[in-house]
Parts: sequence; C-alpha cells; structure tokens
Amino acid sequence: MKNSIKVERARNNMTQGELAEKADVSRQTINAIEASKYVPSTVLALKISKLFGKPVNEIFELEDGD
Amino acid sequence: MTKHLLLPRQCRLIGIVLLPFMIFWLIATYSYDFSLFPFLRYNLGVKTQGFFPPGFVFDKNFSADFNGEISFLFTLICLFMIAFSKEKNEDEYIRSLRLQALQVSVYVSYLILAIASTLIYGVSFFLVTFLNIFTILIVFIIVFHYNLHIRSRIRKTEAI
Repeated sequence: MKNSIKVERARNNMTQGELAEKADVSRQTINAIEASKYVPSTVLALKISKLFGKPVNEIFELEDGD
Repeated sequence: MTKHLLLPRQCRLIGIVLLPFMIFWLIATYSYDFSLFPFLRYNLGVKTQGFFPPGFVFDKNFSADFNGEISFLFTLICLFMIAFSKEKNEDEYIRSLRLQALQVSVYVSYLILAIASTLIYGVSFFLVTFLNIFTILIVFIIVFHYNLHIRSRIRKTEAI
C-alpha cells in the first residue's frame, strides 16, 4: 500500500514529529508508514486522513500486489 | 498484546540492574555447586511413613539447596521485566514489532528443541530443554531491541 503522507506533510508544513504528536503515535511509526514498511491500522489511517482533512483513499492507495 | 498487559517502563531498568547478579548466582549454583546464600540450604529431619519416594519433601533424608530454584526464578523474572516493559511511546507499530520478535523467538526456541531432540540424548537433552526455557525471552529481547534500534537509525538519517 502506498501513501502520500510525505506530500501532505509538506503541503501542511508539518514535520514527522508534529504529525506523530497529533496522531498520538511515535515518530518511528510515521516514518515506517511513509517508508511503506508498516501498514497502519484503520483507526490510525482515519486519524491521519482527518488531520489532513482528506478522505482515507486519497492518502492511502492500494498497489497491484495488495 | 495490548498496552495493558505490559509492565511499567521502570521495570526494565530494575531487570537490567539485577540480571547480571542473577546470572552470576545461577551459574555459581548450577555449574559450580556453590551456595551463594547458605541459609537457603534446607534440611528436613522429619521421619516418613515409608511410602514417600526418596527425595520427596517428607523423606527423612530430604535436603535441598534452594539457591538453584530461587536464582532460576529471579533470572526469569529479570528477563521478563526487560522483555515486557513498556516503551516510551508504546503504540501500534511498536506492538507489531513486539509480535514479530515474539514469533521469531518461538521459532528459534522450537528449532533448538527439534535439533536437540534428534542430536542430543539422555541427561544432556534435559539440560538443553532446561536452558531452552530462557531462549524465548533472550531471543525476543535481542530481536525486538535490534529492530527498534534499526528503526531509530533510519528515522535519524532520513529527512524530517
């Protein structure tokens, strides 16, 4: 699953740490999601999309192998 | 594995501080038959009814050195405290790393047991199974903290 968190962060002028704090997770988690090393839970995906004010499927996208 | 099933963060420090002493105590007892705390040697001079097997608690010649049992128990507790205390930011990602590490440790433990059951016989096999009790906890601690360390390094090197 790919995601556009990095782009959205840049658009909102937000660091990984700030996003992590707002989503109530560690910075490692945001980093792992951005690097596609970790697929977040539905709750966290919804939290992140809410923070960016966009629907979940605009931030997270399924890839061919998924 | 939920947040609620983990020990407080301070427990890890207590475990780390006490572990070297516990290992020393364990090795001293089992490898050198040395009682670090002689008062834990127990001698029960009770006459038996005759139907208890030799070595049973009510055997009149029963004597035991509880240094072994207690050092073993405390070593397990220390390893448990190091393995299962909360991280600073205990979130879903850390929990997934925990689960992965636990899976690896169970695999390793049973692999050792499988190899030992085919290659090692007699009393030596029981020694391996005895020591294998620690494998799950030790491998879990190593794998989990290695993964955490690797992730921290990646985090620091990548641009924020």
